Amino acid sequence: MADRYGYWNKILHVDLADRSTWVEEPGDAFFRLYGGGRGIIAHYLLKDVPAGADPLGPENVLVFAAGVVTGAPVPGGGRHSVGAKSPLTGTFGEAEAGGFWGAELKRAGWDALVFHGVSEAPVYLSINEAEVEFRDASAFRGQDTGTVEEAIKAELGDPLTRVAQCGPAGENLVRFACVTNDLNEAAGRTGLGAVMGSKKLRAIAVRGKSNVPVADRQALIDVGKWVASTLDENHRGFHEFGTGGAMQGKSLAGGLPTLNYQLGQFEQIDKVDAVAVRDQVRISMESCFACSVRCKKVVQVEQRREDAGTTSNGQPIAVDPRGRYSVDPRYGGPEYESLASLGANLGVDDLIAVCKSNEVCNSLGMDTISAGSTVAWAMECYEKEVLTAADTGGVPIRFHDADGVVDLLHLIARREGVGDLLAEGSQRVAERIGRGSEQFLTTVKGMELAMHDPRHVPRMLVSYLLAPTGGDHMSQTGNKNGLRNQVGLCHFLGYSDDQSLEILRAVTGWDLTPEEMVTMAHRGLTMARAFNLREGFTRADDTLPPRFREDLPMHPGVTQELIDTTVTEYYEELGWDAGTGVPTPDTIRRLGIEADLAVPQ
Amino acid sequence: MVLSDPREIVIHVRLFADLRRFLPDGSEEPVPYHLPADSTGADLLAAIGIPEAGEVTIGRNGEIAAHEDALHDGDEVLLFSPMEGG
Repeated sequence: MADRYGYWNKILHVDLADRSTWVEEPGDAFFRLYGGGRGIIAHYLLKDVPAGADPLGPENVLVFAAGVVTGAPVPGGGRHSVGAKSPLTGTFGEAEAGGFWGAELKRAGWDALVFHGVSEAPVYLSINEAEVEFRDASAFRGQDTGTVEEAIKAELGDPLTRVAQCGPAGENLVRFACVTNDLNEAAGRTGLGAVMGSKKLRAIAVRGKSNVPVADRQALIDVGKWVASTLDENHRGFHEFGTGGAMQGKSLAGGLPTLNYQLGQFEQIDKVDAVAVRDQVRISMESCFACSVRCKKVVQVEQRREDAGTTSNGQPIAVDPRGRYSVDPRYGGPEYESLASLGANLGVDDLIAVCKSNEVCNSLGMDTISAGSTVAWAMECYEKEVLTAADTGGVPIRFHDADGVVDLLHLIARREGVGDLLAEGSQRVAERIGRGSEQFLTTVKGMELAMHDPRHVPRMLVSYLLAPTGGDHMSQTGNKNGLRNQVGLCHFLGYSDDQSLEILRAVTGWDLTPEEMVTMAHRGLTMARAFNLREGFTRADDTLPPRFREDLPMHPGVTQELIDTTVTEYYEELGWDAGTGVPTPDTIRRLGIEADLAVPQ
Repeated sequence: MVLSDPREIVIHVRLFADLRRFLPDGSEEPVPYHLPADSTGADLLAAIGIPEAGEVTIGRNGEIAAHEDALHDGDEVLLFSPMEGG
């Protein structure tokens, strides 16, 4: 155990069918090879999920993987990844989240959890250091995430327990259900909450009391001091607004997703951006584990004036002047993606309704991006009479209808009425109804694009075309974010590549080089690519839907030529065949992943 | 500097998102910047000291402006950095 830093060499496997557990100690080389997160997830997906497996069936595995940095005492070290074969896309499914849960998992002595099989009855797992216990979750069925988190903490008698869970949306197999942790953080994308729901695993409660061993604690403390002492120079925007502080600029520049990406400007954007959030409904900013940036918005709204007091710093709490909604601060507040997907892209300029929609997604467990974008697609279909009242059970689905959105989100999460249809995600519904509705899709590989229009931000193109998860905006494909998301280091922290290297070295004690960092990122991406190839995805899937070929008023549509060039160049950069995107034998050997995937012939 | 100098213009600037880090300590927005009369958006960014200025979106009096566009006395300028994530 000497000289092992940043990880415990302990992976907990859980068979939900027979409620057995076993501990795998894969060895030091495993952690240096994969780094955590995506690398670990891809390892188990390639190894344990048979090709063609039903993502919502017992053959899928669900992996919660910290990175080697997760839980280390350094700003940005609070992130973990969740992965499985995606029920939304059928691709490699993965999402990352911040907060405290991932760090708590590490502090409990675990690097990753791998869930196999399906439980017969609703269950939740309690992990208290080495103690692992299956507990009955029958009473939680249909309950919102806040109620369940409180009940679990009360049942376990420890308010410091951290909870990750799927909400009712996950239980109902909404294909874009998320896995939420700490109530206001979400591993949002690719429908991993539905995988959790399919396994009847409602929650994972973790409690840890052990500091993650690090090689050079003082170096990490110094990094923390640097972040805190240079907050104004490096992170002031995040600290002041979180994300979404530049939406007026994005709209001015004609690149703000508006009315299902038909337009790039939303005239009322100053009513529903992060500046408006700060000025009207925000009560505080919160942080993730070990981070001084505090970029997480917390909003609160009361339905009735008589219920609205003041915040702890004396600021009056907002009231809905129309008496419609309260917004619970336990669920945080809308970040940029949620402001855009539940606001501008739906033509909604009602800030309180947007905050309510965000709360509904968090309390019921849905990805705000895919939920909002599926609704945006449905709104355009309805406007163009491709979807009619006969399809929607008489429910009008109209742009600008703020209250209609809130109602629709409830229907989707509960799979009631038209919500049952939309819970399949926009691409599946389009495939089912046809009628030209495919023209309005904003999906890549079945996942709705995030809120950065590639016609306005060309560097997003590579992320959307080539992220193994589909329309993902996190620039996973790049060396920097690809690595950070794998090792558990937040990409909002303004660390230079040298600082990232210094952090990784200080945590692990490894004699890492910049080249090895890139190799580690490429390893995870190449394994994820191999998984997708195995599932039948090809170069033809590395493309954009017709909507993005259309011109915006201020930006030309993306051409096929640009798509072809972008894809080919990326394949070459990663060492994949320039024509097919199949990792070459040389690349597989260079990355040391022969055991994870057979060398293609 | 003399405000009435005809060779000088005053631009009122608001900074958004990541560019908030360039707000002078203790200042209230909009921040007045005094520039030579023939200054452009690019000149303003240089005066503020924003690196990688090419990625910055400039809004002038409610409309997008090119970096090479001339600024005029009294212009209200909004500056935005690109962003990802969230």
